[in-house]
Amino acid sequence: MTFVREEERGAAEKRKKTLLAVYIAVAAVYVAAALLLLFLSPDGYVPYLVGDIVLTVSFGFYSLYFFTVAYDFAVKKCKLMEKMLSALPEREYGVFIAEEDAITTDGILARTLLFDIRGVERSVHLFSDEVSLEKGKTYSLEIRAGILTALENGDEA
Amino acid sequence: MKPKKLRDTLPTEWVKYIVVVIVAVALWSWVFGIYHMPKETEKIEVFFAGTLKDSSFDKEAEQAFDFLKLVETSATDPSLGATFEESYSAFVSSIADVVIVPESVADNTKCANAFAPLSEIGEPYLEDGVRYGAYLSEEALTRLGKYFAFKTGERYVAFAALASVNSGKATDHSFLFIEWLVR
Repeated sequence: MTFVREEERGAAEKRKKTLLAVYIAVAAVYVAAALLLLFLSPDGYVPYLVGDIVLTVSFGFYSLYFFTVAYDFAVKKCKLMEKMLSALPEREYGVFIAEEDAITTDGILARTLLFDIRGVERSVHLFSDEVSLEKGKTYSLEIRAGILTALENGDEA
Repeated sequence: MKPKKLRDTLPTEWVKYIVVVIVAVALWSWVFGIYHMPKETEKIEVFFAGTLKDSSFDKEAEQAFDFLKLVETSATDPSLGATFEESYSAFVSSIADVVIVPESVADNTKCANAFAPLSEIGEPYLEDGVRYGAYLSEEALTRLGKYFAFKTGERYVAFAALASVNSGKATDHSFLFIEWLVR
């Protein structure tokens, strides 16, 4: 089972650019609408003022969500992809020992798996929830930059 | 890879959401205030040499003229001596559009340097034969008496400040205002 493929890097980059383009479009619409309300406002401007405040709060919340959640995740995913796919793959056989608590690595939540590889205990990260491993079973592992990128059942030859 | 969720960030980022609301309210209130601030030609600053009884004069005056967005009245009592002189001088030279003073104060003012000549409005106050002010009529004193504490036995004169843009430079609003005052 392969967890990270080369084509995913391009897709992640594309998603990052699309997200940014959407944000810029929303920002342009917000600025235009806010200025329109200001310039069209008569002397009794309170409803227009409230309109601009509502627009700004909405856009501000969207911006916070965008930069702390959506775009932030896209950027970190791209960096992680870059890091993983540019590292040389290590192919090893390892006996699964245990799963430790999930931790955030490079800004993204990852599972931490402990393997016995050539008699040495080693922890690797995994970004997939789809896999369940059997304790004491031997697996063929592909590890890049400390991250498990592929996994197969197998006994050491 | 599990996408990040909003609820994952809220415990650390919630302050920023509050800041957004506060900044939005403060920023737009300020921008609208500035954008709709009355221009010099849309407001009349009145200086009264005496004390005010009621500030609702401003509202009544604003409603009397379509071109006015704001009327502001300031007052200093001549009995305050040097404080009054300082205030009177500042208002006449740069702040006020219309000045209402007792005749005794007007007599001690060099009108040619301070006030714009008026056309035929009410009973004229003359200096060197030039019509600089208009006396407030008895009716006017009665009508305006609920706002201004006029001293009994004193006659009051309304002037258009020479420095004001509304005294013939950009508009004639000061003259129109005096005409409305003294009638």
